Amino acid sequence: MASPAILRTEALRCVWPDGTVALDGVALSIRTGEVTALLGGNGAGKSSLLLSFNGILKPRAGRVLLRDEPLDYSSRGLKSLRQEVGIVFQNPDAQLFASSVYEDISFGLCNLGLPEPEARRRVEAAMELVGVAELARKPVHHLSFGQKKRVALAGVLAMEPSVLLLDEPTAGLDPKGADEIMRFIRELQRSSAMTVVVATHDIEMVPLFCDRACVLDRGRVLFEGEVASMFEQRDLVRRAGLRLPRIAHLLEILVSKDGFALPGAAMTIGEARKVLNTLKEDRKGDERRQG
Amino acid sequence: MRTLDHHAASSRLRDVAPGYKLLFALLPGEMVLWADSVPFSLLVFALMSASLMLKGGVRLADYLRWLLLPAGFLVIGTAAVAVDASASPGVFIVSVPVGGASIGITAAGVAMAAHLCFRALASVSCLYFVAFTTPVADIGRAMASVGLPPLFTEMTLLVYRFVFLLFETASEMATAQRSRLGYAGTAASFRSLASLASNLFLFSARRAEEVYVAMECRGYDGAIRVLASSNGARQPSFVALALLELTLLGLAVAAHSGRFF
Repeated sequence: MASPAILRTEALRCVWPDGTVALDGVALSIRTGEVTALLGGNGAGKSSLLLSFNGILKPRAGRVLLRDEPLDYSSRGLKSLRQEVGIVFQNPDAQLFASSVYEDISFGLCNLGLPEPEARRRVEAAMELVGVAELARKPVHHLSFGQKKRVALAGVLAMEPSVLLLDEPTAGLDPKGADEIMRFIRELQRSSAMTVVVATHDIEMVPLFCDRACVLDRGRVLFEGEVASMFEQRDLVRRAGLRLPRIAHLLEILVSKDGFALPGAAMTIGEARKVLNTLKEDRKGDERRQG
Repeated sequence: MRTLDHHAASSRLRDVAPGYKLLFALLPGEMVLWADSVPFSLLVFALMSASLMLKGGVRLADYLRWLLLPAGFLVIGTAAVAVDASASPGVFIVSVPVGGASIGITAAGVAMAAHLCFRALASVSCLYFVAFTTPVADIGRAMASVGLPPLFTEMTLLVYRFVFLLFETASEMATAQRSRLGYAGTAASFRSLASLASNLFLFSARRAEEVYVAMECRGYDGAIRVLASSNGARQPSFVALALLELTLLGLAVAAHSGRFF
């Protein structure tokens, strides 16, 4: 099923003010209602791509299209773009500026010019959604890192964007916090058909929470497609400074070094269990046939 | 020690409308400065301290610890006022002859120092009442509601937010420097402090840029508009406040004009 692309880039080339080429002829599409992982090593261009989706980074050449319309960089165009495409930054301290949680979440809504009752309703809904309702009146600098990350997310979700861009959503969180936030994002995407783009290094969560993946390397697209087919191209994954999920790596070694004949590949614990159980059943079948 | 900021955020009087608290504390503060009377100052000091501890839920130990800092300044500052120099040694209570004149403590000097000390202490208690019960964001809103320009209040609130960020970063950098013996000697300390300061400047510039980009992403267009969380700003009776202020004013006038205290 090929869902239509909500965001598309054509030969996108972006250069930072200091002359570094961040994106060099990037052509890819983000499909509506899916979670797309944006992978690549440090400096591969993931964050630059997110910034260009949001109209912050203007292309030197090529273009970005939202629903097949090229982005409009006039102030009115940017306003409507940013209502549709929300971005949550890696460092919540760079995003939270207001003196209390409630105020910070209301900032985007006030900028949209919503009437006050509607804005208040949305602030409260967003706080409820990410589980920070009891922090409403706390000053931002009294929050823990994980709480700040949630508040930053709530500030963007309150604007009800159709596309949510997340820059390293799990970086700096403990395993439980990282898992919770990814589960939450998956849930959100399923229940509200939101399109999500996640720039990440966290390779383990890609097969668990993402539908598609796009691998960047030094400003170019190395791969774009289904997560499963990405991990089949191991050399490509490693060339981009990434690695396989630990489980996939283990199975790869078992096959290549230890001569196991496994009925299939696996990237997650669940899949590996299935593969090993099949192996067990096959053995049993063989023994019965022999005996 | 908890910061004043923490105290304000958890105060029992936090929900009282900020304008009310400002009137309650700042008007008597002005009266103290004008009346210049020790008993009146003591009265205001007692009123503010009692309101803070009984109504605001500040513990006595915390309050005393916070008073220690300004009290230290006061003692040193007012001690100098009590000292005077004169040619005739008769006016002094205690004096040391220096050349032809004498330096010592006069009765008038002591009285003046006492006045000054109690006035300052009472004013500090008024300001502490505000600081212990009112988060900075609320003060900002109160400033906006009496018609101060939005630019001013926005700047105040942004500075307030980023002071904490800057402080956090500075202490992280200092820790990293200390762990590599950055403050092991005088020369090293100066060098480390200099690089800390310049790095902090670069950090601030970069952070400002990041915050600006993040704000743009949420539709910032030059004016910071936010909604305050509205749940239950208590509006105590204005009549009671007016009565209290009038009583205080009456006492202040009596104390000031009669000088009978």
